[in-house]
Amino acid sequence: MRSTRRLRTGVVAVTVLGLSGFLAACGGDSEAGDNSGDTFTIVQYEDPTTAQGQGWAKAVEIFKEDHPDVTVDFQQTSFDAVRQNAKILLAGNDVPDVIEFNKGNADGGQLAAQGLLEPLTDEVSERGWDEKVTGPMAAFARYDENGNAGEGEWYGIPNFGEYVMFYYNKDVFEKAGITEIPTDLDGFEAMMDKLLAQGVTPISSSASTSQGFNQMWVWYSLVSALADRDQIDDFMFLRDDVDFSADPWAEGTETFAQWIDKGYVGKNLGGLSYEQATVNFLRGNTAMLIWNNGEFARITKDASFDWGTFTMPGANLVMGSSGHLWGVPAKSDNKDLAYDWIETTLSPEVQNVIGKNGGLPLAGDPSQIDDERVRALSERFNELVDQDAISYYPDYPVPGFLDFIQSNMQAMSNQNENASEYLEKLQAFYDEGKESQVP
Amino acid sequence: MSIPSDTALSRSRPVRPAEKRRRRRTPREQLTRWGVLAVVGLMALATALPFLLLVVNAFRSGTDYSTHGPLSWPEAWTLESVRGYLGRVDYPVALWNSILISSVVAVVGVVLGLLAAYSIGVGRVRGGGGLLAVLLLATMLPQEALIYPLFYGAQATGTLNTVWSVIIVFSVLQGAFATYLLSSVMATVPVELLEAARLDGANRRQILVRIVAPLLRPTMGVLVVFFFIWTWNEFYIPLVLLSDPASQTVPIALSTLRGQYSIDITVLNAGSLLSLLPTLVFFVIFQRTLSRGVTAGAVK
Repeated sequence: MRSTRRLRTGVVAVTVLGLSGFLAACGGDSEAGDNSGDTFTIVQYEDPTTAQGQGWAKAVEIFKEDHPDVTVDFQQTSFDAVRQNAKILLAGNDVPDVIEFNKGNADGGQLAAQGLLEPLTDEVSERGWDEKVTGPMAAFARYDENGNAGEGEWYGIPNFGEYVMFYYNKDVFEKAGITEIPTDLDGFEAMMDKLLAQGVTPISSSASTSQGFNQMWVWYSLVSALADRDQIDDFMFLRDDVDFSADPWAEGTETFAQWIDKGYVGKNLGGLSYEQATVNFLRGNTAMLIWNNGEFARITKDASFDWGTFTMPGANLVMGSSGHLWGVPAKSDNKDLAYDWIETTLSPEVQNVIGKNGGLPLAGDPSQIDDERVRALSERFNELVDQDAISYYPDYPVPGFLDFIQSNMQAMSNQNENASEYLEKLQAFYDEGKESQVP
Repeated sequence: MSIPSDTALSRSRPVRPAEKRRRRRTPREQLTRWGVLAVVGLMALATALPFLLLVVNAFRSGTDYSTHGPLSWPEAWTLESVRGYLGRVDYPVALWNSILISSVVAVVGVVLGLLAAYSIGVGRVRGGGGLLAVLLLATMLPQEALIYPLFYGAQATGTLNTVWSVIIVFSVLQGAFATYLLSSVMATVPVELLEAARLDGANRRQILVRIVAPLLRPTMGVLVVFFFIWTWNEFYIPLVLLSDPASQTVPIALSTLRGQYSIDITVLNAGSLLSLLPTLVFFVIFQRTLSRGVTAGAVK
């Protein structure tokens, strides 16, 4: 029975080791590292080839000039990594000094509510950031004590924005005899009938539950087109109760169902992702693509035809929002440097680099942009912000909403579910989510 | 997870052909054999197809992909995407990290498993079955449930953001699986063999090194290969424990290519291909020693 005794000794040893490790983890906070004093760590996830990436490369340059004695560690990570990790990373001892994070109640709101981010309200008013980040662009920079967006302290500063538009193939439009972009929804439907008569699918769409966002954007664009500011804000910021059986939800969803029936968005969307919808448009198989400015650079590079963009004709509000946010971790050792960094990213030099490369800077000057299409893109964005006509993305308000909406979009696109069935489910899901969000 | 290892393990048992004598086959039999060949060929093609697509789309330009789609033959072969990938990601560093982590884990995991399995499988300790169940549980737990303790453990030991945190975690996790598997294989080793060795004056260590380990070599070889590949492909735990780019592995470097609203498909393909090649090379090299090990075991 010697082996049994050995085993017992082993088990005891392992238990003691495990316990001591656990205790060390609990008590180890006293020696929290403040040894990173002269290195300034920036963690972000923008692809260096994009407008934002190029703008920030410029910002690093300027920042180094302004702070010659600081070593800048500019780290590249991924959107998914920050989304999954931020909570763990920022609770640890070794936190970055400034971090890019995703907006919304489920992401940024959680970080703010758990005290992992430094409130920026004082800096915002002192440095005048609220003059650059205004209206709908500021909505997801502020979170209340429950982590709900819309009001409360500032926790993040966006540099750029995004909005949803139709990219259209001018050659296909010409062939179908369409010379002007319609100005209202009826005109838009008539135009799509013309395209259908030519045997062309009007809108390139997708409804896969994995990354097939186009149908959701068509649906919410239709709701936004008929909605007013208060109706969207009630829905988005969990204020007054939302009745999904009333307009704009009822009419928007009914129209969406009709568009599916009429074939405006194509067939067999259940398995398509946005990438495939984009390729279908670029191959000339479809007349329009609904997407945000995220694919603008790619379409500029890859389209073999003449193209343009417009937003939903006759719409009250247009889908869009501010971009990702800069935040300062509560455990950051270099908070003043972090504020200087955010200030740098909002400076005209950086903002105009973003604008010229097809990004949508919040404080840029469109007249500095030479390329006509890029300037029009930027000008339309500024117009929407000035008119307070941005309706955000529909999945922001309650946790788990994206998956819920996506699976229903797929069901509707496959014609397994009609508008009223969807709206009923939506009401139940939203109300339940709201209850858990607003104690 | 255990399906591939089961099929690989079954090959370590000698298989005797059902019929030794040769006889003429009827035309009908001939036809069936050709039919089977055709079906197997088609299945092989279907298996290879995704890989071929990956290669085709890794060596074409983004514009070509966008205008002709993923299924067409490229207009021109280009290294544009490969260059794009290497320009965006520090591939040599990630490659080195991945090779280091996967190799160390593969070897340490199997050695740990062998030692632990020896005490359970041959030593037949009391409660061995319960221990195995606990170890199996460790491999079945979703990694999300483990991540907080692992993160704080790595932080307390100062291994956070170094490859060692991941090496320790996966050595233990894979070691648990190896223990489970090796101890059940060890239970099939004839007791007479061990007793004979003991009568010849071999002590426990000698029995392990001279008798048991050689008998289990084929199984351990298979485990090394699988542990290497599984660890190579691990994503979630390395993602959390290795946030510093200097310690990142290949799959994590690959994930930095994906944005929220845009994907550069050809660059992603080129990156995937470059990430996949090392495991492929490893597998091809070890496949040979593997089959040699299998036959060596079978003769015994």
